Amino acid sequence: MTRPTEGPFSAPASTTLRFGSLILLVVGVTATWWGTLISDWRPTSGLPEARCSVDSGYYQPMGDWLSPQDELKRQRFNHCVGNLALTQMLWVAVALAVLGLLALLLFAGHPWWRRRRSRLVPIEELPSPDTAALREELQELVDLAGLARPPGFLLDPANARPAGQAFGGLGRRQVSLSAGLVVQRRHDPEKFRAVLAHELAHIRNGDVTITYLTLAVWRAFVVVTVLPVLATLVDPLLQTTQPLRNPLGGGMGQLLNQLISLGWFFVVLIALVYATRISVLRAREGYADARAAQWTDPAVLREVFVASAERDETRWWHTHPRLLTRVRLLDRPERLLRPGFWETFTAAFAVYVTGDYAYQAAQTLDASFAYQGTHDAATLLTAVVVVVAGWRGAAFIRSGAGGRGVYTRAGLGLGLGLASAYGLAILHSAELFRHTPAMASPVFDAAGLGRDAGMAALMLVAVLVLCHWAGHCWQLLATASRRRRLLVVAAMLFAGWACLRWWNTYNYALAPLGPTLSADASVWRHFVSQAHGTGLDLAVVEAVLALFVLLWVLGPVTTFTVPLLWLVPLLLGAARREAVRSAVRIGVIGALMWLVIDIGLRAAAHLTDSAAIRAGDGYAVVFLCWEIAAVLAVQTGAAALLGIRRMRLMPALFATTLTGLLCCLLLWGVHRADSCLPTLGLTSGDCTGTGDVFVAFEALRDIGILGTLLSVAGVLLGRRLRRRPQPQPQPAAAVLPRPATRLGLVAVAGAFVALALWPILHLWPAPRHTRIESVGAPDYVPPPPADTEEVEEESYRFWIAGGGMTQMSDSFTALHDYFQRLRPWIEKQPVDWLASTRDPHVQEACRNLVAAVGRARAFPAPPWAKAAADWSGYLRQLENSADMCTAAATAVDPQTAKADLVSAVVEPAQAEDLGADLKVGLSKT
Amino acid sequence: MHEVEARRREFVSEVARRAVGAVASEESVFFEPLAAQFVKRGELPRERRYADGIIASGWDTAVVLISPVALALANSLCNRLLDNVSDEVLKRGGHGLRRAWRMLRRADRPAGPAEVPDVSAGAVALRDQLISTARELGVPEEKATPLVDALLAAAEDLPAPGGPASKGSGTA
Repeated sequence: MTRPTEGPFSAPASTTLRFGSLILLVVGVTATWWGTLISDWRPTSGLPEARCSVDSGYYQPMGDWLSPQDELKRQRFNHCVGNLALTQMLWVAVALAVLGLLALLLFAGHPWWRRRRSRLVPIEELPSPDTAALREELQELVDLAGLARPPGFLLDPANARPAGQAFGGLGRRQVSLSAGLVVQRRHDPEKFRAVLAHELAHIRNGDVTITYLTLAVWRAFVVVTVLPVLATLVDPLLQTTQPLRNPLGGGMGQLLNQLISLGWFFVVLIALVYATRISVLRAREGYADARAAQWTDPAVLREVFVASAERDETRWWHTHPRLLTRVRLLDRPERLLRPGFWETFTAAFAVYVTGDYAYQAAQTLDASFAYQGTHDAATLLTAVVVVVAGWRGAAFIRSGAGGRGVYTRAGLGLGLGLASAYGLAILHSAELFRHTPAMASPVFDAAGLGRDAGMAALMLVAVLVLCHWAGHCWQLLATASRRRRLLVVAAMLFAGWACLRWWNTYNYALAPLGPTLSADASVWRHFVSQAHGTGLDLAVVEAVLALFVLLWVLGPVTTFTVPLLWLVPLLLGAARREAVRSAVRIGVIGALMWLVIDIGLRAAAHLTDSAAIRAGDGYAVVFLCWEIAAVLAVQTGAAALLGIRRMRLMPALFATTLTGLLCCLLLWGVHRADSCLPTLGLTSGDCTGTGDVFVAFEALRDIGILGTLLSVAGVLLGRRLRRRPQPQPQPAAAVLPRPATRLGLVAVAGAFVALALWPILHLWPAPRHTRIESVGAPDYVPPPPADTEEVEEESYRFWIAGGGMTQMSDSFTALHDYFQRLRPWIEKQPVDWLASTRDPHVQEACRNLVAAVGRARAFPAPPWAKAAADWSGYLRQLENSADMCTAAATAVDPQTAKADLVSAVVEPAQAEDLGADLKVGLSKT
Repeated sequence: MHEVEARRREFVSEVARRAVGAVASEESVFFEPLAAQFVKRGELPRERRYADGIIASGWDTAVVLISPVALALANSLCNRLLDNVSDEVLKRGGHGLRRAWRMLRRADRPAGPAEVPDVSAGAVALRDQLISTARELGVPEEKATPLVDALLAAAEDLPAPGGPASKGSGTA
């Protein structure tokens, strides 16, 4: 059995991608739902997570930016919640296991059910004379289809419609033939063969497993997730530990609240799962038609579709595409290769939803590696979508059906899918936090939303570039060996991971960049002032250092992706050997140019500034910024020159990266030898210091990406500057470079990454620089703290839920019980009050009161100052009552006993205040 | 009682098989399982459209099948015969029925009406009714008449469904 390498099957089918999206979505939605349900399934003694808050002293409204003291509290909180999370995750795992088992059972049992329901009869069991010709023809078609394991054929004698159906579970594949189809064999043998070929194509394409798994998973999902979601929408009390209460007890408001806070979110997700299910089932039809058309006369299939198209009653919820759509795909089967907008959109959405649950769950485990691991796994899955989209897009372009716009389409779907899922999650959180402004404010302030929009736009650009790049690599890989393909796929996945790793659900946890830049800018201005610099100096410093701060957010993209962008295509033969050589020459010349400029800058510094000024720390910063700006200028100039010379983009990027690398090496050398060069050095000394040398390599990470952006702009500018119109450069023939060239390219990329990583690995966490502190890791400024009163009020809610209410209730009940026990005695007004204090019931009530007061006193005070004062006063009064009742129990004369009892029977004056506090706290839920 | 019912169904099945063999031989492939369903359940399952979610080929132009129509008509014919022929005739076994049927057939001929005028009218009406039913079930005109004639011919050659067990039944 050979798989054709060209045509619509030369790249992974969209069915596979959609099926993967469906499974991810189902797992993600189920886990999210059950995670929500279990965390809300509160025991009567309070919400366990809130109890962790009370015990640790850290309340979630306090936010993420904490003092060292509060940070310790949060660590205790995380540890406590981590223990709870294991139990919750176990429940979620059970729900997922039930889902999986049910799906497997449905999948395995479906063939049996299908045979029984339609009373299918194996064709082998029919009288041989009648079926001999039919069997012969079926065997012929099986041979044509090249199926390694022939399917079993069954007859559906009661079905008059000329239809076939491929199905199967864990065992052998089966194809049922309707009676109408058998009759059609006599009247229209070509149509008969077309139908059979279509069914066998489903088997050959692997659709049977995918389709029946899709159906089984959907049905299991309905049972395990959809029905519980709908049930809690109708009766929100099902989400509590007392599910049998009257659902209308809370009125319509409760139902509405459930819909607003939770229901709509899951309804949207369930609708998406359903749409994905339909898209999986529809996608396979085009591939089956295309495969069948390879075995039979496509005109017959076309004729059948066209003839039936007028009576086509296909609706959007049906599992087959419209017949006219199938006709179009039959005419142009290469369209099946085109990576669609919605398929990448759904895939990205599914990855985000599942990843969101996974890393939120992992975060509560108090294990940073688990959180990071789940986040990296989700990013890697996104990279898989990029690689598959690039693969399909390259195959589509090779078929001649379209251009590079196909990558843009796939990238847009992917980027918007990620952004939409993020937006949905944020909206969901907004609904949950709508009564708690302190918890919501770091997430939903205008600056945060603006920053999110900016980051989403950046992510979209990154995804678009990645899709184009991956597609370009796949185009070069057309004739590559399997081993080379695997290596390149690994490189693409790595690049995708590095490029997208910064995009996560916790964008809001970042410090506000604006205040950080403002704070840093004041420091930079101070440096410029120290150096007696001009406005131009300030502009250069701000431009260079501000970008350093912003680019820090991008993480490994600046280190790993830049060399990979040109390395992989050049290794695959994207440029001729001469072009690579020319790029090396340009890189070396550019570095020498920079050295000349640097010497010129140093000479000018000697001429214009005194030695005292040059020795200042501020001067060192300003001068370094000039040097880095010179590197960027040289890179841009080199790129423009290459653009004028019509060099292709990849070797041009290689040239400018090499320029940047060599410049940084020179920068390192110059700084290291600074004090040894009296005529050029900024400082004078004993020529032994190593000060600031690592700045050069930290700068490399950021010069890498800025240089790349400027290089692209420079190349485009250079092409425009060339006056004479030149023919577009022909696509380079994918001739693999020689081993020496490959080695050189890998060496340059390796040196780039190693030098960029060196400062981090070598010096972290020790101080990096002796003089220049502002380059490298920025000191982020925390967001402005939320209103203290609001934070405390919202924290009070957690105190109530975490056991505060129970303490309040228990202590008050104990006091009330004591009053009740004394009431008969007070009403009788006995002469001998000692008798009342010796009453065993009264004594027991007194002991209970003492114990309740002890427990309440040991319980942490409310986090809200007002409530804490009220609580404290309340406890004092209770303590007094407990002391007096104890004293009365040991009194020796009736008068003392009476006086003690009178003092004990005092209702706490703070009860009303506590009630008002409770009302405020509960309004925050 | 069960034995009588079984013979009745066997009669219907055999009559329909002979008719299908004569009119639509291509359906002989699946006639046996279809007739088995009919014999087992006393009726045929309703036609199903392809359900949501199956891997069917997706186009849906219906084909007129003769076999289910033949079974339905044979069943109708049997009921009619059983209604028309008296218990006494039935007690006389298959020969009596055959004679009764031959009388019906003869009555349909021009020379016959004088002998059994009431039966002759019934035979014509029965044939017309069967043709009409076949048309209603979707069988085209050019096939409906041969089908009904084949059914009637087969019924003539077979022993009565309510009589003693037939010998050599099932031969075309």
